[in-house]
Amino acid sequence: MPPEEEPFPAIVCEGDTDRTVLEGLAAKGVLRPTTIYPKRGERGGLTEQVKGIRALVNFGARGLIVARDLDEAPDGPALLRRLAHDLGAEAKVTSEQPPLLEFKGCKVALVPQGLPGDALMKKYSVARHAIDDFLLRLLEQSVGERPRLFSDEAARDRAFYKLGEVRELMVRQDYKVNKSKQLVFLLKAMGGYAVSDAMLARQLVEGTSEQTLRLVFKPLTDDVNASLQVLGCS
Amino acid sequence: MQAREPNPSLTKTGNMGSVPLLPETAHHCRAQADITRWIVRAAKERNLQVLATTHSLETVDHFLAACSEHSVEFGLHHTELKDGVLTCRGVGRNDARVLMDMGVDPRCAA
Repeated sequence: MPPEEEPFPAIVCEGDTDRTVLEGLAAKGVLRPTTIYPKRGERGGLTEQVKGIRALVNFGARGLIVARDLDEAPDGPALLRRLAHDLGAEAKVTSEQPPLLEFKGCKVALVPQGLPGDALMKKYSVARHAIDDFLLRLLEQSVGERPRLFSDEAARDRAFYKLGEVRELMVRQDYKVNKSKQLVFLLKAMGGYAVSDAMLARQLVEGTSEQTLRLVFKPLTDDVNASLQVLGCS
Repeated sequence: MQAREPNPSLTKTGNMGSVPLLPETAHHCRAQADITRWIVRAAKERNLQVLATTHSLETVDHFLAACSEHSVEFGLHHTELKDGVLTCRGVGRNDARVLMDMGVDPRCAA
């Protein structure tokens, strides 16, 4: 017997960490449950994302949500133009706000991932925004929740203070530290927490209360909900 | 376990006849792989077009692999009867590979 039809429209993200976060949010009821691709780990990155969008559209998709990190463009409209460029001449931008394009008869809504303008990102000079911005925010916000990188607020404050120092040292040595992914990595190292980014993301989302998740991920969930509306899913 | 070669009479249909194929029925998945590889090889040797229907993702995967191995064209088509209307949508080998690698279930993906 064929399986039941999947929830529609699907979200196509860039890779493991993004998918893990979005699936975790859906499992917690923070995000409307939907299908998130790629489901398997081996396909990641922008090139593979574009291939995946093309294949889904060629297979008959009429509405898709594409989640992309803001690291390749300064804002949503620029990211939308970049996506249209990546998809080729058949992609036409139909709206910048909400970010929407049409590709071979399929409506593609874009969800830009990242927290530009966030005080924590500014404090640590994060310039290339991504899903990891939310993880950094979550680490700063979810004291005492699992995984216990920081046992209490004092430990958290010390770790973030040291993070600033290490970042400064690295910048002085001409290392470019402008992504939250790098900062999360440093925090993992400082806390002796040896897991992959995707695993940390999963544990963080699973271990954080729904209330905190709703607060931290509000910009992302608002964008996903706006995309669902524009694709006709109320 | 190795799958046995199908009945030799089935291989003598030339390029005119049709061959009923049930590669997914009650076979171990490794045997399915052997059978699909044999089907694709035989089709290539005889310049045949093969139409196979399946509800099995593994069978789709095996056909994709066998067609790639033998450089044979492959099309993945999904047919659906809804409200009395039969619709069909399909993709070629490259898109089918991408969909399968992404974890898309072509039986239900919109």
